[in-house]
Amino acid sequence: MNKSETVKALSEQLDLTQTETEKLYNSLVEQLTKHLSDKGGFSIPDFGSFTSEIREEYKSYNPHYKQMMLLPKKKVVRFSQSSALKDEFNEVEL
Amino acid sequence: MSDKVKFSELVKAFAESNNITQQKAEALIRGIFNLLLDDLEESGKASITSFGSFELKEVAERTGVNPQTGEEIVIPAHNKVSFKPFKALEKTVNAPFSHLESTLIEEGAPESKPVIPIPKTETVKEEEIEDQEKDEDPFESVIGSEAEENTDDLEEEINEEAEQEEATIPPPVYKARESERKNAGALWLVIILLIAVVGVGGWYFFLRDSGGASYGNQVAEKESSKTEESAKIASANSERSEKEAGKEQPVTAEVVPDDEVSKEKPAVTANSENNISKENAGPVNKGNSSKEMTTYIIEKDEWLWDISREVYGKAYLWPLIFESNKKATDNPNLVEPAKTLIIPSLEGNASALTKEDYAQLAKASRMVSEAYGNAGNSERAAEYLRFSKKYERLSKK
Repeated sequence: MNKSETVKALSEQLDLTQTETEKLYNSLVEQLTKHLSDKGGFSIPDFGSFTSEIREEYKSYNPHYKQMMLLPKKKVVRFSQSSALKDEFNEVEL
Repeated sequence: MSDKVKFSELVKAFAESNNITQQKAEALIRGIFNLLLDDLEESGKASITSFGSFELKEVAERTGVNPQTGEEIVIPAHNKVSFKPFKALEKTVNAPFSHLESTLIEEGAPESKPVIPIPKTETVKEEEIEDQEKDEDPFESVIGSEAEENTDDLEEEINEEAEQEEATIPPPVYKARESERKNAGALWLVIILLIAVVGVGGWYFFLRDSGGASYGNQVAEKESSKTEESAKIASANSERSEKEAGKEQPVTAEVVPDDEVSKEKPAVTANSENNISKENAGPVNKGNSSKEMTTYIIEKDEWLWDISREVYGKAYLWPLIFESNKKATDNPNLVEPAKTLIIPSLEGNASALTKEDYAQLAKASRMVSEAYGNAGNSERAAEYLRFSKKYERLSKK
């Protein structure tokens, strides 16, 4: 499902025009990105949580230069699925 | 992290910035992620434009260790949703560190670490402090200069290092020579600083790692306690409604085929006499499950979910029972005690369902979804509608 299909489906669900929905969609993505870059992340119930954390620099072998490289500090996004999401794709046995 | 945004805060901020109601904002966010779920179930892949992509991955079975007891446990194979941020998101999030670049390190450098005598490391620290006084960010400038040198004349550097290794010079002598050969001195400084950086970096990394793991556990514990709570609330609700139902509907006549009665009666009477004897009754029921039970008498405090587990061995088949006993107007969470249920038989068995079973299950799940919709539980309704789609796909495979 690409963006236009998603927007179309959403506009039907929410009773909005497609232009309005697309505007909201863009603004949401922008805000989610902002939460990740400015704050520690966010969580979506029954789906999972997105966090941003600083990965310290580390050494790694670069096959092109055939040498060890020092890779710098980086802020990365991590996703952790919720237990509800996990159950969704696995047969639940209690 | 402590400054993680809660869902309610997220919805509020989104609603305010776009001048829409919070209900609408929440509906939109949930809608997007529900569409994602549909995509994931259909194709195993999904994405949010200019945010990231999700993919369903299979995780192979492996052995792990129980962190509490140290015991070895087998983690069974399972599916997992993985997330990969898109370039745009990565770039925005990494903005504060975007100026840093990866650098080559000499292969000799890490190995020489243990050889360094103690006085030498002391001088390194002194130099480091001096550097920090001079410059705000010494590592960066030094590393940067080293990178330039590396790309400019790698060979020279290697030769010089070989020289240095030949003459294992004590620090004072080294300092004296520094004035003579400024190039070599700078190089040494770079290498030693690098070692320090790598050491500190490694230390941080491990520290963080262990901290992160314990944090994960806490979160997991929280989540499990949350689900327990909700289960408690739900069971309390069902108990209440069962009482009501009991008043309205006195025990209905049991329509049990004769041959089944002989099998079932002992276990059931034992249960109704004493609820504690459930443990004893358990194996009896299990024994019967392989022989395809066709009726079942509800005990007190039982959900269809529990019954399905006892009868089929798998709890997720409960919509089948619901479908053959109830109407879409009934609340699936309510079960009248002491009522006889008809248990539909499976073509295959619970662990290997046939296509017909899946088709039946899809139909049943659709009905459950409808029933939840009628009972006002739209979240559950959406969930079972998704299940029904999933089973439908499986039935066509």
